Amino acid sequence: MTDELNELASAYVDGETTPDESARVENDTQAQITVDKIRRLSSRINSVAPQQDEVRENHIAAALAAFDAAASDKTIVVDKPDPDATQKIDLRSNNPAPLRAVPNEPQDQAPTSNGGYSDPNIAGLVGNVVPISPKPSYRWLAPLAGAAAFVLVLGAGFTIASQDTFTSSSDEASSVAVATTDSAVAAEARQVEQQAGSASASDAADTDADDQAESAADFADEDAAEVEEESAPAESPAPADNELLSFDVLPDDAELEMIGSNTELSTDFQFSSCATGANDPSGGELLGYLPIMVGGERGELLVFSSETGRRGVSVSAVDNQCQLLPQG
Amino acid sequence: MRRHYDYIYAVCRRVAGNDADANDCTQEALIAVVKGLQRFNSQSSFRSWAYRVATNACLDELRRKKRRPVPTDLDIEVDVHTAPTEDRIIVEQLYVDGALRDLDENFRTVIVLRDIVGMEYREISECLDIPMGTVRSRISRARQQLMQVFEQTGNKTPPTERHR
Repeated sequence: MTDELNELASAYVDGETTPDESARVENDTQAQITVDKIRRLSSRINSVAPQQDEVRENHIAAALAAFDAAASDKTIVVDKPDPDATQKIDLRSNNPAPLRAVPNEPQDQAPTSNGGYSDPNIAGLVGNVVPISPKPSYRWLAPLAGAAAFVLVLGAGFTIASQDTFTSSSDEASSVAVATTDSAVAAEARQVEQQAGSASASDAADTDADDQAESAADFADEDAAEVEEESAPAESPAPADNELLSFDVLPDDAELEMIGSNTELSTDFQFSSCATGANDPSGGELLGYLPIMVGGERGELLVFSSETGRRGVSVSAVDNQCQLLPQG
Repeated sequence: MRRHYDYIYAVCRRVAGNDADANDCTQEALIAVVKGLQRFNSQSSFRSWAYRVATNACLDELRRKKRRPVPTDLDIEVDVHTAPTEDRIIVEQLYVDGALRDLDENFRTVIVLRDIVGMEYREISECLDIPMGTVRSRISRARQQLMQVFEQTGNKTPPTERHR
């Protein structure tokens, strides 16, 4: 059998042939025998004994610890042997401080001493569940929040003052309007009464009264229009909590809180998986920092709120994997 | 991570060829993946990217140890009628490990990504950054070599295979 036919048979098993190539394989008896052999071979290669649960959990814990450490300047907070003190260690150090097992959550299985790894850093991480803070501390947020509050108060005060001034102006304008309207009626009456008499004075009074009345009416109309505009319902009513708003760009360090989704998420640390088949919106809370990986199915939509308001976060589904992205 | 763990472990297990190295490779692969998340280009497939990182981390770990998969003795006689199931499974693992061990690293990687992870040729091409035609030919050649090895040791094939 030629190498070409072998390659065709191999590709045929993998479903990577064109219709013509498939027909060629199916019509060749020798190729069919090879196809059967390849299928048995693939089955043998594919049979790998699953990892032991304990080792599996240790691997994942160590990887998550490494992720957290990488996200916080390569340092992690661990308990020193002295139970009253804590310190930061540098993961890059060859001689890290001795670690003590301090699980941050109840665990089904106690961690082993070193997990069998030669690398002391990894061994330490594997053997000791490092208390990981799920939310990095943003110390700059406190003064920023203070400044924002100050600006908010200042803005609110300015707004109130502006509204008072505007209200006063409106009242004055209304008075002027009434007065000038009265003046116009009086002038018109005088004009009817006097008819041909005192033409110049009447014309002057009429002109003044008309001008003032016109101006006041315009102002009143503008005022009324503004009042009407203010009292009218907004064109874009506040959307429901689980409505996807937009696909805005989020900063990389945006703090996101999930407020709705069309699927059910488990909230294991920063890595979660979507449970498929659940269509009811979930009120679960997921705090994390981009990038966040969420396994799920194509088409899932998640809505998150952040410090700057609610934002839609698109789920990019590739091969049944989805990842939260900062933009749509 | 939990979703991908089993596949990453299986890849490392087959690439490494033994449990001890597979454990170290798996750990290195997982750490490489989580540390590299910030560099992940969201325009590409996460799966391809993750397995590329994991595979490379595994191969790097093996190179760092300057160790190829531990040779195993295929001259194992198993009584097909009396051997317990567990023994047959272990022997089967040894056969497959030994056969994969003799493969070139490039061949071993593509066959593992195809037969264990179930990647399409396009994904393997992205994962290893090689043309699809190369993927196809490497997989074919790898399978031919493996079939030759198994045919040579056919009399030692575990009973589950031999009496199928």
